[in-house]
Amino acid sequence: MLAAISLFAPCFFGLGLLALLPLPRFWAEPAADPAQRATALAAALALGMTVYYGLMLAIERPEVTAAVSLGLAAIGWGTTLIRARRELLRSLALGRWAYGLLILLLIAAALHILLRPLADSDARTIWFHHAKVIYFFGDFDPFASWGTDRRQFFHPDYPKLLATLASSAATLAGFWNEYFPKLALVALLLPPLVATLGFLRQPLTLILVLVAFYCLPRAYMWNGFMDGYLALYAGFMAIHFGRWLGERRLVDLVAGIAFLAVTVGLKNEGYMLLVVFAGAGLLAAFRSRDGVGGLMKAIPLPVLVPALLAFSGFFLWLYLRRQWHLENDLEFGPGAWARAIERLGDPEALALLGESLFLTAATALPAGMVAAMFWQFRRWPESRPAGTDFALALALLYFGGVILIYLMTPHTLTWHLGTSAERVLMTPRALAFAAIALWLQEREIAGRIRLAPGAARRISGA
Amino acid sequence: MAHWRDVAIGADRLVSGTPARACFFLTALFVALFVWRGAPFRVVLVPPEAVFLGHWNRDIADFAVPRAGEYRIVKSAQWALALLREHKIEQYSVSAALARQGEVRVRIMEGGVPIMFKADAPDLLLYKFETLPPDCRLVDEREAMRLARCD
Repeated sequence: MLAAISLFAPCFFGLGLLALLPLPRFWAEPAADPAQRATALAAALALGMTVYYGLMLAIERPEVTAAVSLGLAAIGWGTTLIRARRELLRSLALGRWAYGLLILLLIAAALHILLRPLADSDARTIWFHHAKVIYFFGDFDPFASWGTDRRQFFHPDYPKLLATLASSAATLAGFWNEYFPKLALVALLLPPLVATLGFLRQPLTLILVLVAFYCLPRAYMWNGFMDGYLALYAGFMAIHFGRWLGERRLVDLVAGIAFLAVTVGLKNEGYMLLVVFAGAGLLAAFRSRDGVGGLMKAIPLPVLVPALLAFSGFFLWLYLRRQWHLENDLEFGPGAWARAIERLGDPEALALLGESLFLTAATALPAGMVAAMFWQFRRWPESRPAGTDFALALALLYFGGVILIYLMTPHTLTWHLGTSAERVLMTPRALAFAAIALWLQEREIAGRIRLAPGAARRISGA
Repeated sequence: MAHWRDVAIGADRLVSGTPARACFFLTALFVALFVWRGAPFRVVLVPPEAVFLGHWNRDIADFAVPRAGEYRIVKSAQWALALLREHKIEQYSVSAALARQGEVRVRIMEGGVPIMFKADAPDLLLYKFETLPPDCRLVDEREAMRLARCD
């Protein structure tokens, strides 16, 4: 059991190091900047987690996967230490305060998560039930062991990242109970927490990130639902890709890819985020100063290796889903469009949608803050970071996607909205907050530069 | 002789939940202690460890115990799971009345893994108020749940 707790972070990090081997520049860039170091470490951890997910789906046996992963992680550690020892060790040196805060936050989160047994319905019947089936039956084929009502209650088509992590924790512990497999949630929390340390020098942004990403989802951070974590990873994905659009640093690009790859392993909504990401990416590319071609050129070709490894679990799961004929209960087909058109002409349905999706604090709060940010842009147009528009486009497109899904749902609208609207809105809210965080961070950095000793002299000299 | 009811208040109420809930709780406590003089209850402040640590003690003690932590699921499902495990059942079916209780049935199905639900399994779970089907004999019962073997 102690092995499970102590091994998961070095193992994921080692797998991340292995995936990053084709990018020798990766550890050289962030070594000089503490904020970038945190991003690099978070990227490696998230990347390692997705590689582990891919391995688990390929091997389908938790004990064998754990052994293979440990071996590969050791190779990752060894090779990186030989090739870029100085840079890696410098990147690991986040500072005493940063590690102190990380340990404090992690212990607080772990106590909150682990000392509450699994109780909420969806967490038990979906993610942790899948983990239990993997743990007891040793395979991912749901038809082998699950009873009737598969689709309605157990959603066997859902991605299995959390299930693989939870079943691995149970396998290493040697038993199943309602507490210990929740260690998977702590593991999922680690990469975003490390990424959060990158904001230590911008206290306002740090507070915004802590409140918006960790506190607002409340119980969804510890009850075993994946909605809070999807929002968390989506938020950090938007921040890193947004930053990459402005500054073109390799660490931000890799971190964005790794965080996006985690989202598609958590919930089916991750697939929608992937589609929305492609749309917002195209918009950002057309609006970029370099155009689509310039933006594509800014992506180094070797990045494709960690990107493919990060999405290996996603591709494998798509394949296995097809093999096992696992379909989603929302029945997206020609009938879905007919339902959407019918609901568009139904004033009662539109009123219900408006009430549940627009007239709610989850929408009003970020909308108000984004409006305030735009007011700032009007006054100081030069203060608009490139990534803000990208993150806002992601939020708006995702919100549009949510509306479309509710219009298409085969369930009654009242039931579907009542049971899920609050959870589903967390992701677009996090994306909007990511846009605000990008802007606020830039403002804080600009303010710090202006206040730095000698800055006035440098400015007047220029 | 006073005819009031003791209302135990634990320290965990002061530190858990949302700020809004904490504010509501503190206001209610203030009213109960100082404003509502003729209240038909008496507020008793319980030592923190009795409630706060009591809940944690259980979870800490159970943390590394196999199958622990099921006390949060619906009682009927807990009784059903206890019956299935006690009699080392590998496959079971459920009665029509139990099948209609979505929450209980799903908790039994997911909580029971690796015990498998199978519609035609001879071991039948049913409620105590249900009559046994003609070809079945009672094996055991726990509170409101029964386990029967059918031919």
